[in-house]
Amino acid sequence: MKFLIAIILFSSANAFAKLSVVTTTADLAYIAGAVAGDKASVQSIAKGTQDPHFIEAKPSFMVTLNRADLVVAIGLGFENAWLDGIVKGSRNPKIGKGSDGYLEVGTSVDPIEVPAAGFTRADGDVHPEGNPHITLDPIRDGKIAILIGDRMAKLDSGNGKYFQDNAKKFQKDLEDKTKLWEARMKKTGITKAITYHKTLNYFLTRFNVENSGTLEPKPGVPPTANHIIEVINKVKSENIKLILIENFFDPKVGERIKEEVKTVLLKSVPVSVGGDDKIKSLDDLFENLVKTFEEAK
Amino acid sequence: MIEAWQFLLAPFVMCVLLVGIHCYLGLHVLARGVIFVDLSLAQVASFGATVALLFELEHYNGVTYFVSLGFTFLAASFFALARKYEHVFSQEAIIGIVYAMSSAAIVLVVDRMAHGAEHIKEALIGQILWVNWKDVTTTASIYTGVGIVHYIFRKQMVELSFGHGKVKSHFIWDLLFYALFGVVITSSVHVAGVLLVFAYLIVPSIVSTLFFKTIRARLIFGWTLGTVLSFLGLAISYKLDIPAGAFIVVEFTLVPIFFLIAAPVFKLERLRG
Repeated sequence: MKFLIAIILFSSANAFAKLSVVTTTADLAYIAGAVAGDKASVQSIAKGTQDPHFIEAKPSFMVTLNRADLVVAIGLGFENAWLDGIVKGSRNPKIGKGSDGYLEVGTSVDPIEVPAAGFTRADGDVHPEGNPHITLDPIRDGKIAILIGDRMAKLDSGNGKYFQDNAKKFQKDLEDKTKLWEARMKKTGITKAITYHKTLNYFLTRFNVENSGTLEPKPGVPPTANHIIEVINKVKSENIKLILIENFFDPKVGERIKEEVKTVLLKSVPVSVGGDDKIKSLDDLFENLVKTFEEAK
Repeated sequence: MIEAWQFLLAPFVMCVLLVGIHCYLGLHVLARGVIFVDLSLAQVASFGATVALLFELEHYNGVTYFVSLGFTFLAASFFALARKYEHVFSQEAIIGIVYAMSSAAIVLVVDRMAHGAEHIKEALIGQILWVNWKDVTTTASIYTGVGIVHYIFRKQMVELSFGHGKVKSHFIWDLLFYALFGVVITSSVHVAGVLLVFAYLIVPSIVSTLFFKTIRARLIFGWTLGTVLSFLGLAISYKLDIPAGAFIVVEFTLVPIFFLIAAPVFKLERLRG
């Protein structure tokens, strides 16, 4: 009996000792993991292969959140459909909105594509606070690491310096690599690309590639014949060489376009850490995207 | 520049193929009174395709098709088996059970994979707009094969579905019927989706049954109606810039509803007691 009590005490003491961080997406989990090192535990709610727009609430999420010290979310309305519900369901006062245990990083990293006033739901799944796919930009990922590091330092001051140093190192490393990627992207000479959804716009903007259009007529609305005919004619007239399809979308539409324009490179790409077996880090993710551009050259 | 008609030609030809085989099978299904066998098998096929996707097989390649077909055959033989117990309960009960099971199983499977919601929508309304000429020729050859088998065994097939009593049920012929049906459904579901396939199967055949008595007359009428509706559906959905698959389903299903409401005006003899 004494032994049992000892185990319970020990394990709960241990739980207090190590900060538990839960992120909404796999990319955020990767960043938080780099910051946490071995002094905090990190897990993600969405898997890398899942589109975090649509997560089905499962009881296990609430259990996970119930034990969390910090929730890291994208914000910008990205997790609107499901996060509030499971945060409430977790009955964990530490992670309520506005408390130190809840961090939304989106608004602090200067989101792009903030729509002008006056749009409605009829314009598709538009995020009023801007494009939420912020982790597709290596520079913003560095900033996110700093934000996470600062917040973790606030919650666990004993390891504060360790977290903040990790975050700085992570940021510096991505900044250095971005310079190399920038040079390689410039060399490809590709200035225009088409994507299925606006997932890749942060990446494209960072490397001076224009998103000439999406296969979706409006965000979240499936392609229609009219729109695809327009895209085909655009690809032809503007001599666009690359169509990127986020790998959770069916490439069938893209294949139909390729049939009309044989010269275009159609590529299904992972857009998140864990998006396929080979993408184990953000470095892998960006490396793979840069390589795709080099292939299309 | 690519023109709309060039783009929509392959989908239209695909629709005509769908009308061709489904109107014929629809007459069988109506006569057998197993309307939902199609929805059920279609859902099983789509469940099979989903399972194949889960194991990271490519979208819509040959292997995916055969995995999907395998699931459909299992369900088809189960239906053929269940016909033995028709005197105890209607076959529709079994068909309904399989439908519910495969639909819910799809939700469980897509939970494990990317873009589940998207995939479920695709399975329902399909991707008729994006078919290419290769899809058209593949589908045409599968349907032709099924058509030939149906033609060779037409006596047994017709007797089993439309016959009055002589051959009540026969496991082997029932199995053949459901297996062929499964082959058609598996390939049409992956181009057109569960709902569109249902519309093509039931609507032309039910409307033709309102007006005509012989199988031949019903077929010719059903084929004409289906082709005209497909053409209008593609053209209108293009003009209005709305999802083609979903629009065609609504358009098709409105037709029998209209005729039944308007039946007194048309003085439809066949509807009287």
